[in-house]
Amino acid sequence: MTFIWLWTDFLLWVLFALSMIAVVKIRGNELLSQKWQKIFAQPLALSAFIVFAFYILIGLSDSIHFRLDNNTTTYSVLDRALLPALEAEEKTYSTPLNFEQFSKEYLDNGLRGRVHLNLVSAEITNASDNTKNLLSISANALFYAVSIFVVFILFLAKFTAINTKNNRSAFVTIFALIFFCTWVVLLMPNYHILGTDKAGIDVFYKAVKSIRTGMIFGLLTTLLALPPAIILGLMAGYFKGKTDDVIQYIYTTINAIPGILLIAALVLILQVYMDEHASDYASALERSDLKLLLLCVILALTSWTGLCRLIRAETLKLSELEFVQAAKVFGVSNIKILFNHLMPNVMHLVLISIVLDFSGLVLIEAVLSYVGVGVDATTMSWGNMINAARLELSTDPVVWWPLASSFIFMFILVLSANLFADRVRQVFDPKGDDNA
Amino acid sequence: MLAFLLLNLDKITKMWTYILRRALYSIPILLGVNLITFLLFFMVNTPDDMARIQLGAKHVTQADIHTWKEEKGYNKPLFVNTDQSGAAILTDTIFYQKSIPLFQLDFGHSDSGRNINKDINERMWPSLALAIPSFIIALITNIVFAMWMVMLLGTKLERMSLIFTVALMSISGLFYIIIGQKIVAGMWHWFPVSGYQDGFESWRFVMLPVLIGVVAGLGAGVRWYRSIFLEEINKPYVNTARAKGLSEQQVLFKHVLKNAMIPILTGVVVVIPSLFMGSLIMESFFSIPGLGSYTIDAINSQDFAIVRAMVFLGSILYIVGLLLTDISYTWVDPRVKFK
Amino acid sequence: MPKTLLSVENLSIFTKSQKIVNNISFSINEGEIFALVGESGSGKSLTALSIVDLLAKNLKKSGNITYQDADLSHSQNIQNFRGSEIAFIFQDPTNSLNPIMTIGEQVDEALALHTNLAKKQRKSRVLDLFDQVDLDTSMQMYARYPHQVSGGQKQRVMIACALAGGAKLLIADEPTTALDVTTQKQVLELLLELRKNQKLSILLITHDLSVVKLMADRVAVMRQGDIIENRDKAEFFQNPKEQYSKELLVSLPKGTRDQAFGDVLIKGDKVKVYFPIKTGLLQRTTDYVRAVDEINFTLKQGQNLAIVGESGSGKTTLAKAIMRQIDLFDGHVSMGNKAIKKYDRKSYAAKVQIVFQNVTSSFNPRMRISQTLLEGLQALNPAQANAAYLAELLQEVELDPELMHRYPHELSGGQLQRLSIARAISVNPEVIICDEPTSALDATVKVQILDLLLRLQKEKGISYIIITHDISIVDYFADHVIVMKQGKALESGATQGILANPHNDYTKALLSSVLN
Repeated sequence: MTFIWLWTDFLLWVLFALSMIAVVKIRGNELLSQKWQKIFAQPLALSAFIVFAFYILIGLSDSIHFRLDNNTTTYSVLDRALLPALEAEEKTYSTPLNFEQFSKEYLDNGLRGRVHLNLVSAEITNASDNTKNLLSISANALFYAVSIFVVFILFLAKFTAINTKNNRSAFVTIFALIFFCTWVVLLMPNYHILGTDKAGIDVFYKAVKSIRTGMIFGLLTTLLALPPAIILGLMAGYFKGKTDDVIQYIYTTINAIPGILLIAALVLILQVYMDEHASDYASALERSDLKLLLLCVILALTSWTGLCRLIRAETLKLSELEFVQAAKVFGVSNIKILFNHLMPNVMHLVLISIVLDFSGLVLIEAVLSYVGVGVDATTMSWGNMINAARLELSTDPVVWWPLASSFIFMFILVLSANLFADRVRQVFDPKGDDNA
Repeated sequence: MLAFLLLNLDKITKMWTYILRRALYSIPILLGVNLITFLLFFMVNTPDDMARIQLGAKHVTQADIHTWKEEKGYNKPLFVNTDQSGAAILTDTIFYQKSIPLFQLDFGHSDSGRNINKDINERMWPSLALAIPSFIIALITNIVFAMWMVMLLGTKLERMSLIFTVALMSISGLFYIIIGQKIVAGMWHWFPVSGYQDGFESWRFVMLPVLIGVVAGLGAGVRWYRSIFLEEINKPYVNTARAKGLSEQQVLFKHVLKNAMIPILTGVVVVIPSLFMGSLIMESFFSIPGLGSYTIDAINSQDFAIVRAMVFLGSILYIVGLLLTDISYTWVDPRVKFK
Repeated sequence: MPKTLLSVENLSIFTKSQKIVNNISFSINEGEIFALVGESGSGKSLTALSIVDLLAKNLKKSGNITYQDADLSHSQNIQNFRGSEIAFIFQDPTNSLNPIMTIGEQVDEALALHTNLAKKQRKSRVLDLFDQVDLDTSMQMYARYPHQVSGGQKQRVMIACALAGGAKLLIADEPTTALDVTTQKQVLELLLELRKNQKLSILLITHDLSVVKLMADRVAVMRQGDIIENRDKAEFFQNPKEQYSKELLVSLPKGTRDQAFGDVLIKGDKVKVYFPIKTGLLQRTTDYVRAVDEINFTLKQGQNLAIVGESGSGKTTLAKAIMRQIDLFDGHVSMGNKAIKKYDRKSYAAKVQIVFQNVTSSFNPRMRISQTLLEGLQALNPAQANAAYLAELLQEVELDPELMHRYPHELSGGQLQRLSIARAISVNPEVIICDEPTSALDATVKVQILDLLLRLQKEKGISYIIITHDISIVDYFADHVIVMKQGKALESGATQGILANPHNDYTKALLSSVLN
């Protein structure tokens, strides 16, 4: 078994490591840990975070790639978990949880009928049998879920100090997730949970694989946009004068160019470059991955200006405050002032920006795919799914499940991110619109 | 009219001086935008490549390319012409030659031979027909709902509507468009699915995209206006108004709403000029022949002249938007004077 | 027998976790001025707000409030009383008026609410009210916006709004605290006149006992949510019962400074700080704001120099110029024999330090006190940048060394002020500039801080330049005084001489407005 590291894999894990370090630092800092406890004190935010964390887990599991010794296919850990869905070779559409294909066609025996799906057991030949089977599998799943949940609760009660009464909604969420997992695990070897698409590929598989793409879009872009935003924002606000003028000129000029046009232009350049150097990449997977990464870079280049403006405004206010004046009076060097006084006091803006922008970026991915400047067609993403599925709505009867699946998966991620971001903003924004 | 001018002469002079000064500051920005667009595009295509794409045919000879380049003015060096002397080193280049007409707002001809200025003049009307109603209806709807939520501050209903707006925000705009087209137009036949007709009939084609645009922006819009209202309502002068004996409702409408107009204006006026550019997504989905779809088509066919013209136009409109915001600020807020 | 207008019984105000006002009771009679005195945090403002049900949403109240036999406890009918029977004026007039309505319109609003006058009648009535509160009665004044009138005038507008409704009870929450000393007196005298002419009752909330002495008929002292005394004014001032009241009444003793000074440390010669005004298309400098307009000063070793003036006089700008935060437009400031410009940052910082006016923002909220103190030391005096030295420093300013591990928000204003001083003395400077060192402090703490500064002077030989608007501390603290107004020095000389014999009318007005 050989491990394959894609660029985005590497960066995602680096991001994960950084967040773990951040968690340790927060726990050590009294002021910050108080604020974070406040964030999680709201049940809605806690539940949203749990769902969000679940998505992250899936994304991470999809970010460890390897090759088996006798195989040339690259798998990720997630791929192996969803193997039955991946390897079932269906031919075309089928509706969710069905046992046969969607449309009638001419069978081997000359009659018109529906082809039985490969994945589903051959014993099931009609709808009522199918339903019975589904119900029994679901009941099993429920049983396992309850057992696992009970063990989990006992474990918590015994080994940790977490109060089980106050966090009711969090536990409901966790139970729902556990049930979801058991249900999927039991169903998947035998059914296409969300049906199959035109080429016979399992829709559930595609939707889940797209999580990683959405995650990368949302997280990596912001991560890449941070350095210029923070550095230039701090410099403009602290040094003022000519430095400020130059930096303002830069971001006004970039902002003046209509966003989509700038992105489209940069993507086109990217496309040309990659086409010319096509032979440099080991596999299609690596190439499409690189495109994903560079797309994030492009988005970061066009979106850093918003945060830069905010940081500049905040730094202007901060540099008038007495403790900054005091540091200057004491002869503390500018670099130290920037790092020790100004940067920590703008980090709340950075945090709010990270969580607020996340959902917007995930949504933009879909739009970019539509315009034609999105991720590679071979990359699994909700945008690609939507784009492909759009035309399917006009078929008769309607093929609705690929579209619905991608929207629902995207919606849940964005909703939980938004609910969580809302709470973060409430706690960290000194103005604070609601009574936190 | 004359009396008005004379009475306010001082203020008007100040305003025009201010506008002129800001216009001067905008020139370096336009120059920068122009330079960036130029660089970007020519990193992708050399003039030779452009010729090949436009000529389209399989076997294109070097002579064909040369002729095309001469016709379109791409037969010079990009930035610096070392064959010339004096000022012509910089002026006899593609960059200079192609940039000058831009600043005169003469966008010339597209690489496929169309007259861009004419296209813009024709296509801006459908864009406006879509953009202006969307803007106004969205503005009113968002403010009404935001005010309603502020009036319910602290109640359970407010908390639920808060979550509801977050949910609305979390739904992709594409969802609204696709479902809207499919169900409202396709199944219920309330509106035509797409297309456009000039003149009086245009409202039928514009209604669905306007409706969808308003609903898609409802979540985020209501939240934004709500946060502005809340910021105002927490200010000390609102307490004074209450102490005077005004009811909560009177306080909201007479004081909070009016004062909130100032920050609202900053956020709203800045986008008005850009309404000309049209919504790229809406126009493509609904086949409305506006400037937005014009731009997308140009991107897809890599027509540099059109893309460059649209970028330039967009930048000017953005700068005009900034200018208008500052000016409107001075009208509405008596504390601000022209500096 | 005076008629009771307002009666408060067993009023308590609490948050989810604690009780802020603890079961207090008092009453106000018709035509009476009742002063509710206390320091910050005593609950006096909250008491006032609760009468008209204007408490913040997270505060709850209990108890009975009766106004002329009507029960005010129910929030439904409180609106009938607001503005018409009970009027309220707030502490900070700058933000208490709607910035986009003219002052005339704001008074007109009150009239429209509580009277039946037609529009034209209201307009002339507004001007009438302007007259009653000593505002200019022209239409130009009517059309002015709040930012175009002074603090004192804004407060008068608020009073006019109160009168417009025909209120019988005026609740004034620290009405003059944010105003200059000269304006304070005028506004208070206006209130006295209104009480006389209109039989207006006033509930006066204040922390300033000199205001109480001038205005009140009866006094109640509040401390940490309780009313500890409630008496007739004369009796209270002659014979305060509680220990706390006695502490509040302490006034600054006369100065006993010795006159021996050393060499000249800092000398300012024809100092000018001008800010350019740029107008026109090309933004050319057409004029200047003359913040500091030719000031001369000398500071000798062991001497205390006070620069006195009201807001806008230029005193803070002068301090900033001496600290080299602003450049001089003209003139010289020299230390020793060298112009201060010529010193490099560190050597000047080692000689001249500053204690800022705003105590809360003098410390980075995210850093512990120890980190802040160490930062300065590491830059200037690395040898002493250690915990032991910090502990010594804190003891010097009479604080428990344990406090150095705290964050700024955990400490009181007085403690932070001492820490500010600790930071300044940590590098053993020769001169310390104190910008309004006592303005934000309660009366009891003021003297302590001044005594601390004087003690440090004796022990370490520091000389002070003190910037203040409070002329009462000048007597106690300063050897030499410069009185500034609009950038110019109106008087300059030895403290005793100027206080005894002010030449300038402005100085005379400043001195006479000290209500003690």
